[in-house]
Amino acid sequence: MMQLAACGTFLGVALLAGAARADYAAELIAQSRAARLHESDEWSALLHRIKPWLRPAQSEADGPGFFLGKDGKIDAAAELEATLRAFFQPPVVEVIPEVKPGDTENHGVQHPQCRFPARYAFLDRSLRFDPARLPQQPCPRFQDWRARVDPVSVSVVFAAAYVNHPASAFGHTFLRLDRRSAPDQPLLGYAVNFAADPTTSNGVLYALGGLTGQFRGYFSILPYYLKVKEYSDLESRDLWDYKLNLTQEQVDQMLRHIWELGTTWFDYWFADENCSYHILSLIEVAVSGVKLRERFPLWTVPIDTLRTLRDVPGLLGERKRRPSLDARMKARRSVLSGPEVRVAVSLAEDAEKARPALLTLPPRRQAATLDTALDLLQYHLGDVAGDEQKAAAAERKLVFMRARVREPSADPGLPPVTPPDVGHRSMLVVVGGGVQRNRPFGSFIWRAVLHDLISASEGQMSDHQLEMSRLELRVPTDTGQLSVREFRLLRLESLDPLDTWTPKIAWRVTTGFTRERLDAADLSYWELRGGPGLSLTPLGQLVYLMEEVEFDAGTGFVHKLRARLRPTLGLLLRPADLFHLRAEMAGRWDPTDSSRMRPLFSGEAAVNLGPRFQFRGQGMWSPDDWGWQAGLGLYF
Amino acid sequence: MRRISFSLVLASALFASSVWAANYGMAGCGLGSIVMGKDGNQILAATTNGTFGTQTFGITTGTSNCTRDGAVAKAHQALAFAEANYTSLMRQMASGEGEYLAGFVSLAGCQTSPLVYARAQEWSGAIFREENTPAAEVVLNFRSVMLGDPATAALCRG
Repeated sequence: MMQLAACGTFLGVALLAGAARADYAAELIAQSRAARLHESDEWSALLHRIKPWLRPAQSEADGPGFFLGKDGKIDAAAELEATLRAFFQPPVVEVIPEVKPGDTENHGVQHPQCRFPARYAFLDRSLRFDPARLPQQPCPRFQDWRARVDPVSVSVVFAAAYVNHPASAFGHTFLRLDRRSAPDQPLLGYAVNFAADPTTSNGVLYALGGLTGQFRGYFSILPYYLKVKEYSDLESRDLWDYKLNLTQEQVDQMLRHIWELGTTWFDYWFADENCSYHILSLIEVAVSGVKLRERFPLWTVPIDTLRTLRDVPGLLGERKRRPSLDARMKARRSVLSGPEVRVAVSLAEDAEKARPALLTLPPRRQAATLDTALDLLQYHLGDVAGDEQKAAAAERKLVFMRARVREPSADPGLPPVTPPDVGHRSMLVVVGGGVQRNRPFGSFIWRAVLHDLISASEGQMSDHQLEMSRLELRVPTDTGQLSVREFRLLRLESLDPLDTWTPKIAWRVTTGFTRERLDAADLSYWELRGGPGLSLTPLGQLVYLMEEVEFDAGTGFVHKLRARLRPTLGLLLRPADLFHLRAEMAGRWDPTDSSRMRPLFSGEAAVNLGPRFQFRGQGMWSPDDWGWQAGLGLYF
Repeated sequence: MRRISFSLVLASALFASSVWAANYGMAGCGLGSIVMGKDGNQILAATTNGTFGTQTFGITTGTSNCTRDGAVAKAHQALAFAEANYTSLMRQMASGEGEYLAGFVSLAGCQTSPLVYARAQEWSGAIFREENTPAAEVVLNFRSVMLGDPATAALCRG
C-alpha cells in the first residue's frame, strides 16, 4: 500500500512536471510568435530558406532529417514551433554509429538539442530559456567534435579554375577553420567542403548529372592538409585564402550549424546550387542579416562569390596565396643551369647513380639542385597515388643526401601573381558592328562565363580558355532583320606549353550552333569539334598546333550530317595585358568533298582596359567568305 | 649509430605503456589513400571536387578507423598527419624547418620550438629509420627522441 501510494505520488509529480513542461513550451511558442522569430534573418539562414522565382519561399535542404516539423521545408513558423517542442524531449542515450561504406543515412541517436545546436543557441539567445523548466542536454558527441575542430577563425579558400577537370573547371571554394590551439598553422585546420556525391566516376556523366540536379550534395569536414594535397600537389592549382573577419561567437555559431548539416543533403546543381553557393549559406548563418545567396539566382561562378564577399564592407580580411607544387618546382628549376637541371632529373631517377655528377658542383649549387630534384620526386608522387610510404624509399635517399649538404635552401622567389578576385568579371557583353562580304551589320555578343585568351590574364588561368553560353546576334543594316549568328554552348581550350617535367597535352573542345559559307551556299548547323594539340613558347609567346575532328548536324548536308578534320596552326601574342592578339590558320578537310583542303584564316585581338572594359575585334577570310567586326566589351 | 638504436629501443620501452604507444600499435588511418584513391584513382576525386570519403568525412556519420564524425580522433592526429604527409614531413624534418614539421610537432604533443626542431633534425635519420618506416613508428620514434632528452622532454606533453 505504501509502495502504491509512493508510486502514485511519483506518477503525480511526473504528470505535473509534464504539464509544466507543456505549459513552458506553449509559453515559449507564444513568445516566439510575438517576436516573429520565424521571420528573422537568423532563422531563415539556419533553415537555408530562399524565395525562388515563381515559387513560395522554402528551405533549400532536401534531406528530411533536417526538419522536425511536418512541413518544415516550406513552413518556417511550424518548423520553429516543432523545434521548440522537440527541445523538451526527455534525455536520450546518444548512439554514435560506425561508418559504413555507401551508408550516408545512419547518423545514430542524438537529442534534438544536440542535433540542432545552432537553432538552440539562437532560440536560447532570443527567448532566454529557463534551464529549470527546459533542462539543457549535455550533448557529449557534439561537444567532443567541437573540441577537436576547435575553430578560432574562418577563411574562404579558392582553388583556381582549371579546365583539365570537368567539375573543377570554374574553380572551387570551401571553408577552412583554423584551430584555437594553432591559429598560425593552417595545415592543422579543417576544411568544410560541399560537394556532390556522384553515382558515377565517369567525367561526362558526372557533368551531365551535375547540370541536371541528379546528385545529392553533402557537407563534409576533413583535415585541410588533405585538401592541400589534392589541389596544390596533385592538380597543380594555387590555393587562395580569404580570411573572414568574424567574432568568436560568429565562428562558434557557424560551427554549430555545420554540425546540423550532417544529417541532410541538398540536390546538387552544377551551375547554381553548387559548392560555392552553399558555402555562402554558412556565412549567412555566421553574419546575421547579410544576404549573399540571393545575388546568384541563375548560376554561381566560384570566383564571383569571392567578389560578392569583398563587396560586403569589412567582411574579408587578409588574402594569402599557397602556390602549387608545380609553381614552386618550376621557380626552383628556373635558377638552375642547364647541366644542373640534367643532374636534378637523374637524381630524381636514381640518386646513387647521379651522385658523382652532383659532387662536381659547389655545395650551394648542390643544395639548389637537390631541392629541385626533391620537388620533382614529390610531383611524381601523384603517379603512385595512395601508398606514399612505398614511394618514400627513393625520396628517403635523396632527403638524407640533401641533409648532408649543410647549406640552407634558397627561397625560390616565385613570380608575383594577381589574386583571382582582382581579375576581370565573368560575364561579357560586346556591342559593335562589322562587315560580312560587303554587308555591314550591327552586332551584340553576350557570354555568360568565364574567360578567353585575348582577355586580360591578370587573376585568370594563364593558358586556358573556358567559355559557356556565348550568343552572337546580328542586324544587317540593309534588311534590318535580327538573326542569331552563332550560339556557342561550350568552348574549352587548354594550351599548357610542353614541359617534359610536367607532361600535359594541349587540347580544345567546342560545341554550338554556327554558320559557314561554302561554295556560295549559306550553311547553318550544330557543331561538335575537338582534339589534341601541341603548344610551345618560343620567345615567350604561345605557338600551337591542333588536330581537331569535327561532327556537324544541319539541314544543308547530305544525310544531314558532316564529318571533317581540322588541322590548325595558331599564335597567341600577349606582350602585356593591355593588348592580346591571336591568329590562326586552319584547314578544313571533308573526305566527301572532292578531298579538297579548304583554308580558313582567322584572328582576334583585344585592348584590355581594366576589369570592366575592353575593345575587341575579330576577322576571318576564306576563299568563300570574309568578314570583320569590332566593338566595346563590358564585363559584369 | 648503434648507440642511437639502443637508446631508441630503450626510450620506446620506457614509453611503451604510455597512451602514445597504445594508440600506435594499430594499423594506419589511410586518410591519404582516401584522397588519392587506393588504386591511384585520383581522377574520381578530382572529377568530383573531392567528394571522396563522403562517409569518412561526413559530419555526423559516426566513427571510422581514425575519425569520429569527420574530425580526426585526438589520439590519432599525429599518425594521420604523418601518414598523409609522409614525404613532406621526412624532408622537412631532415632540413629542420617547414610547416609540415611544425604541424607534426604540434600534433605529436610538443611545442614548436627551435630546440625541438634541431633535435628532430639531428635524429631524423633514426626517426625515419629505414626506407619504409611505418608512420606509426615515426610518431613513436619522434616521441622517444624528444622524451630522451630532458631539455626537449620539458617541451612535450607526456
